[in-house]
Parts: sequence; structure tokens; C-alpha cells
Amino acid sequence: VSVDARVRLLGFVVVLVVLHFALRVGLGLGTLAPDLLVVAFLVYAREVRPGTAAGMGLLLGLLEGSVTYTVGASSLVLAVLGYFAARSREVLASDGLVLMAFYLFAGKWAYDVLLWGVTTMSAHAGPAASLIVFSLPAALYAAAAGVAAVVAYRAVA
Amino acid sequence: VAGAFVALSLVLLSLPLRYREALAHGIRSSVLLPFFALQRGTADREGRYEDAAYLRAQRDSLAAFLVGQAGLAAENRTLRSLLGFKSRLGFPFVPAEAIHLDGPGKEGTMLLSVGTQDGVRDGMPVVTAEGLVGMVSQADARSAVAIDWTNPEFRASVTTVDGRTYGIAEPHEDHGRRVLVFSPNALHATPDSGALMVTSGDGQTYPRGIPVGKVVRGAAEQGTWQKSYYIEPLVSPTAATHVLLLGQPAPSQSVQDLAGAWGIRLTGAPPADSAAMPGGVAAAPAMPASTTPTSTAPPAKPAPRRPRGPHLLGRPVTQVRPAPPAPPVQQGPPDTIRPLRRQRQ
Repeated sequence: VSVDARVRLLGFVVVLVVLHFALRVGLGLGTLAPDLLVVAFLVYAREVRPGTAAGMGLLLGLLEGSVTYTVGASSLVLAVLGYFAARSREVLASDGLVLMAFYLFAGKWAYDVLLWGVTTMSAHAGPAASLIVFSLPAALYAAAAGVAAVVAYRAVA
Repeated sequence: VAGAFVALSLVLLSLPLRYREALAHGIRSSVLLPFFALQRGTADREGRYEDAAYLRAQRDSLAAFLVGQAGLAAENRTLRSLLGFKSRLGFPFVPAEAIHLDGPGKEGTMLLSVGTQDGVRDGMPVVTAEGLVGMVSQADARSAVAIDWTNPEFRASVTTVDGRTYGIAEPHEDHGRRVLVFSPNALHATPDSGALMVTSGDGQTYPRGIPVGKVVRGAAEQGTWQKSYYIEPLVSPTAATHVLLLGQPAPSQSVQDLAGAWGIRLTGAPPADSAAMPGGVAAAPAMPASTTPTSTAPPAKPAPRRPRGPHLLGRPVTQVRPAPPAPPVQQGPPDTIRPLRRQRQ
């Protein structure tokens, strides 16, 4: 991967992460806005090595956790998710949009499930039903927004 | 390499909560500061462009209310000065916008648009015009994190308005529905279904008299001598987008309860061990107030119904005349609730 491509990819991640916090925190939309942070992370993780993806997961988890009161848990979940997302290239090699949509949907839902599992220990997890009622629509929403973002990124890059 | 990062995350997760909160505080105060500044600006703009007709209606209601109460307030002041009482002090408050952090791992937490620069401190009660929402759990310079009553860590000491029944309210899930359950409660003190529960002032967290909810029914017995009751809270946390954070009253004042702000008259004696109740009368849990040896509370009366219609913190605008004043020195509604100075821009 060329240096230009890496810079573009990092720029894509930064833009989505800034958008994520601007929409959710800055404009006060909360969960009305899609989870662009996880989308950016999943897209990034597919393009880098597992170690790099886990490191980025740790950093982004710190940012997300400091807002959502889940410091540590978010980092752990994103680091683990980053490892497996990077390894997913070996199974899902295609870059088609349908596959990307499925990948983003599965990744976002896996993030919610893992976060629920980790935070269960701290009694902040909430009912397990939220993984169906809340997380599935949120994963669909994130996948749709992620596909749109990837299309825009490919058009620019 | 990935294993090292995962191990680092595990170390981070195993840190004591105060260290993790300090880390989060540092990130919020540095990297994420622009987003919180944007949030404050957004909240200001939303307030500026709020529905003009609604604001006009509120202003007209307030004007009518003030005109109607002017004479009573003057009379009240005169009588109080004659009786040698100091004027009552309302609790100061800080208005804030609340963003609820829904989703797994964020149960019952919300982000507030104000922080220590606005006078917010850890542990401040969070209320709306309907009643208690929760409390501030961590205040930063420009923002704060609060827990609402659905948070597993939420606890509030509650009592009925007649002071006969005391208990600790905590969140509970009743057939998929979020409610509060309060316990312990002695078997001989049975609250009526629909009885209004307010904060009792015990525990020094919540001032006495903030409406919490209404008793729905009894829960399964916990043992021979105790029974629990479900409370339907008055405030839906997700609907509480604009909240008030209650400050501490001036220590020099004879502090009263907050029930009058919601148009409620407490008939029970205040607890003595509450910092917000100097000079109050001790009331043992589940012990009728009238049987307390030192109690001077009047006989229990049913709580007056809360008036319907738009509410202003202080007194409902549709209430033409205030509730009859409570016996002197016991408790009563504060005359005013004054906002803290907001240091914006």
C-alpha cells in the first residue's frame, strides 16, 4: 500500500470520526446519528495489519469511551474487533458494496454484543433485549451510512 | 503486536474507576473539547429559536401568575417578618441540555451541556418540572455526566407525603418495564396504590420533597418483616432533554423542602439526620410521624392533586392560589428558585 493511499485512508478515518462526534455530541443528535466511529474503524481495519488495527481500536476506544462512560471497555472491544476485522480479509476478500454492507452490519453488531458482554461485569450493560431492539437497527443504520461513506471515499480516492 | 494492544486494553479496563474517569476527563477536556463547545453553542441556538408561540404562552402564564401572587407574596413577607422568620431561600439551579447515551454499556447515563464552570458539582440532583431524574456523577469543566433513575447505581431515599412510609428506591425491571422499587418497608406501613413518593432528604444527596413517582403495587415479599413496592417514576429519562441541576442552599438559611416547588404539601415531619433539614424531627423508617415522640407534624392528610397543565418550577401556572402554608418551622415551599449565574461566552 502506497504512502498516499495510507494518508488518504487515515484522512477518511479522521473525517468520519470528527463527523461522528460532531453529530452525536456537538449537535446533540446522540444515537439519531449513525455510529460513524465504528464504521471508520471497520473500514480502516480491513486495509491494515491486525496489530495496527488493534492499536487504532485502542485509541478510538479511548475517545468513544470517554464520551460514553465506557473507558477501557470500548478500547478492549475495538482492539479485539480490529484484530478480527483485519483477519477478515482472508475470508471476505471481495470489495463489493454488498459484502461491505454485510461486513459493516456484522461488525457494528459484534461491537455492541462484545461491549454488552464486557460491561455486564460493571452492571452498566442494560437488558440483553437491547441487543436486538436497539443494536440491530443501529447496525443496519451504520451499514447504510458506511456504504455511502465508502462510495464517497472511492469516488474521491 | 495485536496481543500487546489487547493486553493494554485489559490493563486499562482493570484500572480503578477513578483513574479511568480521570483519563476520560482528560480526553474530554483536550481532544474532544471542540465538540463539547459546539454542543453548548447548539443548545444555546436551540433555546434561541424555540417556538415563539410557546415561549409567549409561557411568558403570559408567568405574568398572570406573578400578578396574582404579588399581593400574597407581600403579605407573606410581612407576616414572616412579624413572626421573626427569615425569608425562605429557594434552591439555586443550573439549567442544562441532556443527551442520553443509549445502547449497550451506557445504561442510564446522560451527557449534560454544563460543567463546573457553570457551577455544576458532583452529586447535584437532576430534576425536571415533573420530578426527579437522577444525579450528576462526574462534572468536568464544560460538561458533566449524570445518571438517571434507570442506572443500576441509582439510589434515592423516598417517603410518602405523609411521612408514614420510608424506603430506599432503586431501579428494577418489572416484566420488561423499567420501574423503581423501594425497600425495606415494614409490613404495618402500607402505602396506598397511587400514593405519591418524594425524596425524604435522608442521605444528603437529594433535598427533601422532590417528587419521584407513584406507588403502583407491592412486589414479592423479601422476608417475614419486609415488603417492597413498585414505584412508577414521574419522569421518563429519554423525554428529559432539558433538565435542572439543583445547587446547595446557603448554609445560613433555615432550609425547607422542595415539595412546594411542585405544588405538593408534605404533612410528615422531616428527618433529623439530613444535612438539608437542620432542626428537623427524626422519623424512624416506616414509623408513623404522629407517633414520633418529638414530632410536631400535623395529622396526616392526603396529598393534594398536582394541577394539570403547563408547569413552571416554583409553582404550576394554573394554580391560582398557593397551597395553604405549612406549619411554621416545619417545612414549606420556597418562595423562589433562583438560577445560578451561567457563565456563557
